[in-house]
Amino acid sequence: MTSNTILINPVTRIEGHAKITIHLDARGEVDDARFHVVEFRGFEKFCEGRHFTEMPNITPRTCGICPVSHLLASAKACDAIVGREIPRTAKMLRELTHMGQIIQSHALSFFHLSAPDMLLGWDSDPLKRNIMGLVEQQPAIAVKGVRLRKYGQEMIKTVAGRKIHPDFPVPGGVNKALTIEQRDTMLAGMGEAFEHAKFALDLLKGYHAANLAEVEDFGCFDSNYMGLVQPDGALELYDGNIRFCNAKGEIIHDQIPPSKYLDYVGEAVEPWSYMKFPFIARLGYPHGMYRVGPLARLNVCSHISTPLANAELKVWREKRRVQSSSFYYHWARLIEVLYALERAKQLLEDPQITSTDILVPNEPVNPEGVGVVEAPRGTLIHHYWVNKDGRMEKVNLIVSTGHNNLAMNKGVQHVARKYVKAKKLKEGMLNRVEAVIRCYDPCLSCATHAVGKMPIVVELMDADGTVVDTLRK
Amino acid sequence: MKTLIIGYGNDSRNDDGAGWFVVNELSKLNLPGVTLETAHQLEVDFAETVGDYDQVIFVDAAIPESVEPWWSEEVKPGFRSHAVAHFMTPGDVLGLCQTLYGKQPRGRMFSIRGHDFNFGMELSPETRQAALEVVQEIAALEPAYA
Repeated sequence: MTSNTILINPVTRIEGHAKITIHLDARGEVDDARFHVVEFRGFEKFCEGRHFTEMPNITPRTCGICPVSHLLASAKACDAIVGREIPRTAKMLRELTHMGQIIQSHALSFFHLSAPDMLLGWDSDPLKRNIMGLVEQQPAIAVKGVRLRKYGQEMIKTVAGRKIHPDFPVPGGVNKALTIEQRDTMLAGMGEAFEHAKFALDLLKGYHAANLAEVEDFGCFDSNYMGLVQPDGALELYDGNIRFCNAKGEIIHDQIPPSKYLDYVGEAVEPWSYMKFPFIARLGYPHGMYRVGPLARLNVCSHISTPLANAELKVWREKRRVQSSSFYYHWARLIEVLYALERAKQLLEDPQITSTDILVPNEPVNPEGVGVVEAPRGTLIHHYWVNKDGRMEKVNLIVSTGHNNLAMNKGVQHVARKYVKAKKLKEGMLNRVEAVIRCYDPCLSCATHAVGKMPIVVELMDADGTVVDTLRK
Repeated sequence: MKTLIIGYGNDSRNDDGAGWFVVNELSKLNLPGVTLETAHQLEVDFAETVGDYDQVIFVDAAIPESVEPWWSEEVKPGFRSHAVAHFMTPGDVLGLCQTLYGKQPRGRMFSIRGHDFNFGMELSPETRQAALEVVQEIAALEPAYA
């Protein structure tokens, strides 16, 4: 720490590593704040030359947290290269795996990463304000978190073969059918999972009501939003088309086929981060900032197609159509858990779910393919270009955390200006800065893969903005 | 006596898959009362799973600087929080099980020295030999606990 910079490094309880710098002015007031990502991966580069059928096996290695999302986006991009519609049962089984991923990831995010802040208190001892403290003080709640996450994990394992890095979706479909016994086992456990999801929702709504002023203002700022929707505008997590809306909920672009995303999304880079900065092309950089993920998805959708989740969406929207406070990410996440359970139940009760018609031939016929899914943290785009032999010529990946990059910086600035006072620095204040990042549940391992265009410059600046030292790479 | 054996690590990084190798070899022996699991890492879900067993044996790769080719030690329950939320130690798993479910399965950890952690799915000759010795050791342990 210098006299002019407060450094929080590493940010705790997010996936991956990052640092935040808060820059003070001559009076010691917050002048600026930045969320830095300093990991480097290079997936887009080293995938070049691989056969397209290998991509669903390679790209999920980007992440051990939500590999299923990468797997599905990759398989969908490969389907587009194959140029054929996959069998209905294969699509349902993929979506079922995705629902398991949503359930387990959101359950972990809420119960294990975020609940300690809410249930133990922002200003409680940081050594206790974590899952360990929650286990000690609220073991019954921790058990529900374990059970709900395990249900999602078991769903992935049952349908796809293993919890992490399954090789189940392949270009043209899936490689394993579901048995009747497996279907019945998942249905048998669903009642308990619903109970835990509803419990978590009630818990969060209770916290919200008791801390209304703070949560309504927490990382609250205007932005645009992006997410997948069904043809009628309903929430969609596995398929569908892209919709953008503004801070008022007015639609900017609607029903954009995923293959056309490059016509609507631009990508900028900054010298102080390995993460890309995507923006809405028509609005320019940085004004085209948008958010993705649970908050964005509930802001862009017209409704939810399942009854319980749709009823909760109406409660979520009681005060206003669009929620801007970053705290609403947590609430939206739990509504999505409810949706994922309802949708999984629909899929499991479909008579075709145990069909063995699950795969079509997978020879390459198209030179490129785009696959998009709504990963737990937001829209995930895989875009592949192949030669006539099916070898990768170019790869573009835009991951959820990348979409949110501009917004996370905005959120950090907002919270820092409100809570960080240099001469009254308390741990609780710093934790709020970190916590606004945690609202987005960022996964930095996925978000750092651009190569060849990221100059790294380290600048040491005094209060006048004068650069007194520079390191360049 | 019910025993759970968990081999964990990244099986795409050669010797880091030593735990998977051991579990695969043990599966050929059909040991009575033994359940076998593989995982990339120990996660919070295991806290509940291990509560259904009398003892849990963990098998993982160890760093190249380790002195012995392999060794085993008792695992004491002791849950602590980590900066990254998707990672737990065997002690964490047993500690969380004890706190949340009031169950205390015995724990033993087998660590196998790795030499090659590059991309690939083959064990180095040294690690493979050590892993085979661990398989024999675990197989010999089982009747004693029965």
